[in-house]
Amino acid sequence: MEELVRGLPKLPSLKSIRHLTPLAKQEYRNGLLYLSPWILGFLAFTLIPMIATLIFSFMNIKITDGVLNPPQFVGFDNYETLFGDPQVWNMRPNSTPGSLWITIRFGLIALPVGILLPLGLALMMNNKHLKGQSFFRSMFYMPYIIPFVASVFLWGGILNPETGWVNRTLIALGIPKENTPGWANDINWVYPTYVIMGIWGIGNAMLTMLAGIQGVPTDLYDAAEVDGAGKLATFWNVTFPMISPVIFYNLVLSVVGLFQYFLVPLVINAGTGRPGGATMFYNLYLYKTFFTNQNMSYGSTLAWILFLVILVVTVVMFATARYWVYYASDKG
Amino acid sequence: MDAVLRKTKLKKGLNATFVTTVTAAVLAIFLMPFLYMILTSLKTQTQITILGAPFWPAAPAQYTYEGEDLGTYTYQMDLGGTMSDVIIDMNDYVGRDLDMYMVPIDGEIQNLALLKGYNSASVFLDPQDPAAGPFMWTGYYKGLERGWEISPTWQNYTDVWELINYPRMLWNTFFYAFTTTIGILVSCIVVAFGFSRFRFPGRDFLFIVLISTIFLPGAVTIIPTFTFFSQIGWVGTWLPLIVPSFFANAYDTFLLRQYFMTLPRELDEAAYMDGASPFRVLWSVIIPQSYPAIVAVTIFHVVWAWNDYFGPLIYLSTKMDSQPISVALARFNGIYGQQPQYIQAGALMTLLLPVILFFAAQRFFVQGIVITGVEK
Amino acid sequence: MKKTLYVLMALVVASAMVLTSCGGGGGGPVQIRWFVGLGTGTDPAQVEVEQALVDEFNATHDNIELILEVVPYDSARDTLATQIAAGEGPDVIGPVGWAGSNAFFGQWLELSPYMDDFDTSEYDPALIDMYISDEGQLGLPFLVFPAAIFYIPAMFDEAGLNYPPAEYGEAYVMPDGASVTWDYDAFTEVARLLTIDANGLNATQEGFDRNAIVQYGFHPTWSGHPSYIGAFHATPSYYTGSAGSYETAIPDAWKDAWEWYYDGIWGNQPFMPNGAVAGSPEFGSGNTFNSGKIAMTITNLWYTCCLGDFASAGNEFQFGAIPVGADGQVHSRVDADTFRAWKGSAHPAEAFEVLAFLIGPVGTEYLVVGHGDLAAAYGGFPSLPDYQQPYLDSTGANYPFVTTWDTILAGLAYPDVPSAEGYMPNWNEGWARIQTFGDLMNNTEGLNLATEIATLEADLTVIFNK
Repeated sequence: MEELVRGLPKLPSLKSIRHLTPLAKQEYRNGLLYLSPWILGFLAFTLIPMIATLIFSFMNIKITDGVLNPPQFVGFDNYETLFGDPQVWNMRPNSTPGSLWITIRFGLIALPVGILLPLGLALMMNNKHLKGQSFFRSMFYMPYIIPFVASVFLWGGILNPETGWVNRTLIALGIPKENTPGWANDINWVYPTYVIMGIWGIGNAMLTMLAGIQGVPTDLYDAAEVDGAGKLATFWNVTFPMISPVIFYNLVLSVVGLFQYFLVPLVINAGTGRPGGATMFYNLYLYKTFFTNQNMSYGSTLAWILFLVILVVTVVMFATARYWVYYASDKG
Repeated sequence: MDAVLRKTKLKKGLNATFVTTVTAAVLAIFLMPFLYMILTSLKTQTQITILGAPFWPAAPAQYTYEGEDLGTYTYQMDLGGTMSDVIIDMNDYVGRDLDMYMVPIDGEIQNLALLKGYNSASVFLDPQDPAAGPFMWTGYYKGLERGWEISPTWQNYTDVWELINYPRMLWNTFFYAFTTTIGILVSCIVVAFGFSRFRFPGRDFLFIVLISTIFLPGAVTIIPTFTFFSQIGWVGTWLPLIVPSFFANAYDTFLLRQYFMTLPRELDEAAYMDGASPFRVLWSVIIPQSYPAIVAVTIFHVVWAWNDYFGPLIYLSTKMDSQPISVALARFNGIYGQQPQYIQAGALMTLLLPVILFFAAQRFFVQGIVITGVEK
Repeated sequence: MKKTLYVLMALVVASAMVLTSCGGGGGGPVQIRWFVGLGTGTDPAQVEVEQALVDEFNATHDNIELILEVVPYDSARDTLATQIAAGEGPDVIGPVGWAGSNAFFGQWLELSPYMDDFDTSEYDPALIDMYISDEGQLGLPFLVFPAAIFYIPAMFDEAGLNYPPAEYGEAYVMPDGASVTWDYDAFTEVARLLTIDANGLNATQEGFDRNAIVQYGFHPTWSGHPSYIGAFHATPSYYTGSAGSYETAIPDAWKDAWEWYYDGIWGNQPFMPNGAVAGSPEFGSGNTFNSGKIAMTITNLWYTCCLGDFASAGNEFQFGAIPVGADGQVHSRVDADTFRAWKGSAHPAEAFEVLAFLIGPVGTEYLVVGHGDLAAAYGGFPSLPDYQQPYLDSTGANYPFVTTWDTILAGLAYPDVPSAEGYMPNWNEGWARIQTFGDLMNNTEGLNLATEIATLEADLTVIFNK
């Protein structure tokens, strides 16, 4: 990550390779040999398919009414369709929006929770008054290793609007039944519901943040105390900068994961977008376009737009990282 | 002096109690679904479909009428706006299992057996005194609570074991995890060695490319990849899932490379002095020192394989007998969705092994995460 | 040492390949895959019968090994599309109705080259013709499913209401003694009187508590797709125009039916469960009528497949006539299911052999009549005349309380022509989009339905022309 924040290294020129000493040439060959499994895999399973996807997106390969259209180049037709596709772009404020907005709407809840909750838990674990720290650490981490298919069914049961424990508890606490959340059945509550269903995935982020917090040298805290800094100021000026690389790392992974989010709705609703299309996430729409509607070219177009969106977002994140992410090696 | 010390000690103790209690409460909520899963997995289908049933596994109480009284009784009640006669012949109820309801009579709750219910009134029998004959109660029986007895149904587990073909699915999952772990270990160790122990032009560039693939959306490669695998007839076999694992992935390569970087180079150099080849150095110097990282990669990968859904879903859709447990569980949910007790029992069977693995190998999980997460 | 590395890698890759590809094996019987999931047939009790039939087939056929693949209904179209995209489609698919057949338009094997030994003389010629399209004979008759009201007489008794008419054209007598036409107004009134809260009040009464409903008057179990709701009120239609310039053409009567449906869930006097209630375990997790808490449902004969819990809890049902629509006509639906073969099958002759077996006497006996201790898997009226009476006898034995099956069989006279599942361009996506609209109605209070319908129509026009 640090390397990426600092910017890309230059590609070696051919000239510099030609002028290597025999010993260096030997090392060059050996190095490439050991890298070869990855280089081959990268070409076969990443680079070539990416290019193929790009080419498909300018063609018209689809199966309509059971017949494969004769593949032909159609220029930017698919991109034109995409930018006019109500199922991608429609904002529909009072109803279910297009799939890109659905993804973003979900992210507005999922991203803060995905960062703040593990951070809060890590701070809780780091509290000097806590007894049995290692026990709690293990138990909060443990659900992370549970297959998501299973955890979705567990949370789905507990959040059932009619029979789930959460709503039963709310009713027992005196909240009228008509005011209890409809959870996965409600087009507005469905996003928080999916966030809760994914809450068991925070263990990794929590542990890395905890390790980061514990890695802060104690003399920094001592210095802050001498300066008379309060708890909040200490956190903001000492702890936060020291763990900012960890937070940044988790943030980038969360954002990338967000744009690709679709397995949970695929398992819960078999990809129907229930309720009322509110869970037709962008990537799910892509999946349906290729696998169910057999439109390979339009699916490829959706995929490349997704790639470009993620690329832009990550580049922006890395560009802004220099201003708030603190790498200890900057000190020197 | 003593009092002050005691006061700080007390304060410390109170703080510890408070913080630990709050944390424990948060943990309890966090892990609540486990309790839900276990309790639900032991319920009967009957309990599932009764409104207002308890959250613990229970069976509705019933009463079998022995025929203590065989009279015929007539009651007047309001049926759809007109007063009509309802006739109860006790002969009809002999030997029948009657549902029990908690009926409020004169401010007291009585546990009574229902003979015949209508919207406006119902006819009940008191099991304590069946010979006294039936009586009419004005009110709606479907609004009453039922009587319940604790009754866990362990048979749900044996049912699911067979229905989901658990041994087979477990074997598939194990096979998938095992073969791909071998692929990951062989390829990632080799590649990580290349990245950490050789200096050559373009290495850092390639390393950045490697890291970048972590952020690459799978969607941008899946369409041609799936099409290609289907063209060469690999769809419906394990090959599209296993073969790519032999070509290294960014995540595990990175973890191993970070670990290799921490190993001192003196031992490598000594081996090279003795005329060892790079492979010899990897095999006899690097690998023996790297067990913690290798174990971490192994268990992470096993957990990943247990969780993997999409790959097996699309590549094994034509070979249901070969699917791993998570795909099988999702399909099982589609077919047995009306039996939540089965779904929860199936979920428990799915998560049991990873949980056991976790508690057996906790130490390595924590180490591995720290290597990948913090040093990035 | 470099060599050792290569050798090691090659060995591991090779061994993995050997490990994974074993079981492919040449020679031996031809493997034929039978895919279940596009229609009825995925209920656990049905799967048991299907497996028994597969075992029977394999025991009596040396040349073919039949393999059963059961996929949940919700994901079946995705799975089948994935398989077909991979060129690995199943050989035999079914039971499949018009919906599944249109979803995979163009994928079906033309059967006539294999039908030399197949005797079509037993069938009603109209049924054979039904499966002929531009591409030829794409199917052979197997089952038809007329529709009716399924209702629980005990609930009518408890409320002091008359039962729905058992014959078409018969009037209905309201509690106040008025004799009325059995139309959707009468039906709605009855459904409201049968929707009862925990205090015993019905939906028309003062003080009715809509948050404590213990019993609903109506829910179209597994027939709640807006196209089905529409088809029970008026003749289906989806589009006009030709390729490139299709226009959505949803009948106005369907829009009225959807308003009626929406009002039934969210209106002042509800008589239908919303999505959350219908999906809750207490109301059968979607199989609502089976929970015994729904007084009436409107669905097809195939629904007799899945009433196991209903009957074992001691409930009884009867059939009633479908109400007349706003135009004064009865609009019912007749589904027809059969087995089809995939055009891309590597073994079309063997696939046809299996298909003929499934729709033939042995298949019909197992699947429709019931074999030995096994109950029938599919509740459908068989097209083979010899099995029609045995079917009625066996299903009558399963549901001994049903006084007459004539009511539901009379529904055969009111088919949906064209079918509610009839062709529209880009069928899969269009059908799913309409379903999404249905989900929205089921789960969302306070919608402006006219706006949502306009959005649906706009989206459908885009989908038709994609």
